[in-house]
Amino acid sequence: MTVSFELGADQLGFWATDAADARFIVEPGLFRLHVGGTLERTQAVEFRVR
Amino acid sequence: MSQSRRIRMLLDELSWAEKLGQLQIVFRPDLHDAEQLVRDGIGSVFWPRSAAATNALQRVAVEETRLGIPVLVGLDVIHGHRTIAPVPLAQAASFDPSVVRDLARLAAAEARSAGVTWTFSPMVDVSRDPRWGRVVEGYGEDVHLTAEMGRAMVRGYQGETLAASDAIAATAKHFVAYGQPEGGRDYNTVDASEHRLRNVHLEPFRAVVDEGAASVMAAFNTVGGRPMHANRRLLTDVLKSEWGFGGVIVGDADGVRNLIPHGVAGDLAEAVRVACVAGLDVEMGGAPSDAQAAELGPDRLDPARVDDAVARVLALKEALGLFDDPFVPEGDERTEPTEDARRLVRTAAARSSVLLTNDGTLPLSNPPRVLVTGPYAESTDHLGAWTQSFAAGARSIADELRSRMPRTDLRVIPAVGFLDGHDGIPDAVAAARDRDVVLVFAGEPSTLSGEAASRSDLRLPGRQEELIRQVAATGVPVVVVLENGRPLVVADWIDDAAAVVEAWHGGTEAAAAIVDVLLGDAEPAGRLPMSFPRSVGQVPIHYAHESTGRPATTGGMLTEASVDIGLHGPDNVHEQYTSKYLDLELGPQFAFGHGSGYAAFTHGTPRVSHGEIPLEALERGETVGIDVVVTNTSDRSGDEVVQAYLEDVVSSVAPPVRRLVAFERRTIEPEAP
Repeated sequence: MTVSFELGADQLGFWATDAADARFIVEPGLFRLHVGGTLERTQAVEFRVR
Repeated sequence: MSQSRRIRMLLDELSWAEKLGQLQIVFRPDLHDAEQLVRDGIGSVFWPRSAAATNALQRVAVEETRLGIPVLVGLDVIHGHRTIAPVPLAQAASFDPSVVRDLARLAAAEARSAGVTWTFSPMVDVSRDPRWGRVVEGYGEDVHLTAEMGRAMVRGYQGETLAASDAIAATAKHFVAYGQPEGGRDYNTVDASEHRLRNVHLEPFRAVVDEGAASVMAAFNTVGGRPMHANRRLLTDVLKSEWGFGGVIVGDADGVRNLIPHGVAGDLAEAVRVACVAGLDVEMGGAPSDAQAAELGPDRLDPARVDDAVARVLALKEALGLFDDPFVPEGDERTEPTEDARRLVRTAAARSSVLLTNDGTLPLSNPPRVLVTGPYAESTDHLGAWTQSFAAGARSIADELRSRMPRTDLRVIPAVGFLDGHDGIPDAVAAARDRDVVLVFAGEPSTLSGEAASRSDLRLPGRQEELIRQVAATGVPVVVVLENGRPLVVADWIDDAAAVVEAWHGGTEAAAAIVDVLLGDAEPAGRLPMSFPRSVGQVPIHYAHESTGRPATTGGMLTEASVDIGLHGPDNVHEQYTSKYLDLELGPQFAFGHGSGYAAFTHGTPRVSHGEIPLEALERGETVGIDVVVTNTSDRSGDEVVQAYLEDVVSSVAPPVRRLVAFERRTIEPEAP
């Protein structure tokens, strides 16, 4: 069985709080996704936001 | 906020005192006292324990007050009204939002049939300190899991429309950061950076507000020195202005009164004023009525702020359909669980169970002779924290086993109490010797978790660990079933057990669900929503901690040998100076997401749809797809919980080492041979 996930800005971003108003941002760069049935048994795939 | 014509007219009509009445919810156990409260103009009451009594209160509101405004009827429906579901922490362990939604829908249907319109649930406090007793009321340590389960619970309570006969208004609580009290001690100080607030504690609230939660409850704690009941920046600037929350902010019980001992208000009137200015709409406990009326006049409270608060309360009453019909048909009150309700909570309790370890002893394969021991063997204390006397009770596991295993020679010797009690350990050990398997039902009684139930010791209380170790020492396989409302420290006995199931407090049908799991009629394929620490001193030990500059790769070691950098050189003592405890192995006993089941799975290599994606595409709403093929390699159908954790490799802030961004629980049939 194939299990699929879709990752968008909501999943890749975070709240930057360095300025007066907090901003939700996605920063370009390398992301590694660890997929598995528990945290200790995952396999990684990489992708890049440019 | 746009206001209906009715609300605009009522705002014009209401006197100042009537407005302040709308901004309170007060508990009076006696119905006549509650009726007088309504007659005097209170806007919200607590549920008076029956549909008939609720109708009586609504009748007073509609017929005996000047403007006939119905009351909101609040109740802490936390994990069920009559039919009790597993505690919320257990529901999180199901990793199945549809379970959470269905349980909330059941609770709402039962509660609304009795006249309840407003619950103070879900709790979406991210909880990373198992000493804190209220971890049981929420969804554990993870931001994403908490947000998803919170959304599901709001959907379940509120349905498509609040006016429906099976919907109640949800309250997201406790805003905000209540889950991070210093020392894990309830009501204690919280100090959280903006970074921590935004990325951890506020996120689940943002999600449930987006889902349409009708109300939000202020927390007892301070944040950055300011009690949340008086915290204008977070209540008004963030929640109402930035997020556009148009619902009701309600105080926690006496949270406004507590501003006096907090040291930010000199008297009751000042406490009410600072809470009102901060953005609190409804006070819980009656502080405005108890304060000097002259101190709360329109010269002391901003009339525009009061009108805004009153409009929010009236809008909720309107959304619930109370102006059209505040009464419920008394003959339709659901006072007992239906068979469907029992089936739902039983399935949910089994789905919430987590198989911590298993050497193959589970599921049981018709052992002829079984010893049943531990304080939970004959107890009926399965409902968990935050249930009330009108809840449907549970049966005992021993009774359930007797009816489900009629041909088995069952001996039942509880041996010890939860906290102390008689010393039956020698009897249990003697009885264990000729058994095929020993089942130990251990845990915390319900009173040890929930509000004002923080613990400094996370081990099984009383002599339960001693019981487990001593029966295990006979060499007979020991299965331990835990029922508790928080992660426990299990290090001193976990290796002695053949299998351990974390069943939490499972509710009205807990005993049946536990036996389903032991016999293999249901699968304990849940996952831990909070990490189990090796020792209490290791807390906090949540998985999504920030990356440190010196991550450890091995555990620590106690030694008297000193290290001399001059002699050894810095490279050779590298591991010495990494982030760990000298006296603990690395990592928790069991991490967040831990668990297995009775089936077995392999995962193919995950495939990613894009090796690269432009930032602009993400901002337009495009996504990166991840596929993974999961195969059931066992000979039975089973559930796998596929979890996806993101590592942001280089960021402008130290990112969490991993954070959950997606999960899915699937039932997968075995591969054809």
